[in-house]
Amino acid sequence: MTKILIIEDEIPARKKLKRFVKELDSPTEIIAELEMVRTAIDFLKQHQPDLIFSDIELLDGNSFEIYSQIPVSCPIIFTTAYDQYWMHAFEENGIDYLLKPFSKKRFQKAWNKFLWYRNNSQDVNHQLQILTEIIHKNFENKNFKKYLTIHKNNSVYFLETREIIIFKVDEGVVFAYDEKGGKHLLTETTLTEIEKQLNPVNFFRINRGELIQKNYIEKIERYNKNSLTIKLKGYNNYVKTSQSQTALFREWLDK
Amino acid sequence: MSESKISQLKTQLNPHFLFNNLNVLDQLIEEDKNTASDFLNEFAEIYRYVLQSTDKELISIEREIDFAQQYFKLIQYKYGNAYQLQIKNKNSMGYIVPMTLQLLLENAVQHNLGTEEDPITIQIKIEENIAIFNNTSLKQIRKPTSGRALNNLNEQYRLLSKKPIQIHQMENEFSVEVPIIYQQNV
Repeated sequence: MTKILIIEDEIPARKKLKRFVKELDSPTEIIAELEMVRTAIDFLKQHQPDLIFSDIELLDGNSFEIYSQIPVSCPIIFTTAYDQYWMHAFEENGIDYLLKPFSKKRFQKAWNKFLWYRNNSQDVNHQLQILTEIIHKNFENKNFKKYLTIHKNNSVYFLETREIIIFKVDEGVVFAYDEKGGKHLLTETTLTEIEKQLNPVNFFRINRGELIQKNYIEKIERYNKNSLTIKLKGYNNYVKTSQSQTALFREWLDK
Repeated sequence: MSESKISQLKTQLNPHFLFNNLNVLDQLIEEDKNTASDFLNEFAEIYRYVLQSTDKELISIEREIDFAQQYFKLIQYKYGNAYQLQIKNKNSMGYIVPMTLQLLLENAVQHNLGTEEDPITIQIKIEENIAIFNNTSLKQIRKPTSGRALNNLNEQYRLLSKKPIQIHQMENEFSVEVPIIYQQNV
């Protein structure tokens, strides 16, 4: 059953579309007939049709305003008397553009296009969806720390993560070195704990004991066949990538 | 008075009007052949009027009123009772720039959102002037309009009668007053 939404403000045009839809061979259900930009936006917030027939010039505005406010994932067949919008229509999810008045034959052609689109793109769509989810999980939903809280004596202060050149483990305690030359003792006891809280685009664990920030890299030199030496701005010691991290480090630099 | 200037200013019927109405006709043919035939004849008359009026500077108020009523019928085929028209005619002597009322009706529909529950009523009153007014329900999302059509019309009246069009925009009402022209030189 194909769920169809009709967005059309003229009564006869709506009736004609419904008639053509009913005469199709496939099972269809018209889930709503809407005539305004405003009601279409409200409707699409809650419902997911399989196909939209959409007029362009509506009583309260232009239907492209709907699609700019609500991302629609299903295909749209535009129906309009205006021929100047077709470019814009295909920038949206438009798969066809029916110029009024249109014949049954022309309508059938648009419908066939929809069927082809549906049968051929489901796999691709599904994969895209999975990919999008992964990206969201990894980047958008994660709140990386902008500040670390540092406890010193009996007080607490904030340290901005973007000012940190390097985190370093020293005899079981973790220190952060900032660009002003400050050295801060952290409450976290492992680098792994800290790494999880920071954006992996900016920070990288070059070896078991050192986690550095990309912005402060001043110079990279070859140390031997399998590792690199790095000079960091505002930090006097050279640091070195471990053999196992070198290849990943190179990849990270390009991100 | 430069005739070429006036012909330049003449408003043209929106070209998509034709295609939209052919689409209406297509549906009416399916529903009821008599209605379809009526619609077709009305539409032909409207088109003939539009074509004829492009050669004319002025037309009698009576003819323009007939035309406005026919034009409005087409709107009602499309939108049902969401828009309504009332005409109060006390003086049908005199002349008017052809397509004046059509333009003002089109404007009223374009700018105001009428629904079956909350219709827009457009009234035309003919006294010393022709006044067209309607209750307003401005569309939330408004198309950027240049107001060129109205300015064009105003310019034609200025050239023909030295009297400008008056436009009043109030909170709940919009009105336009158009002068009646008596000296006939058509």
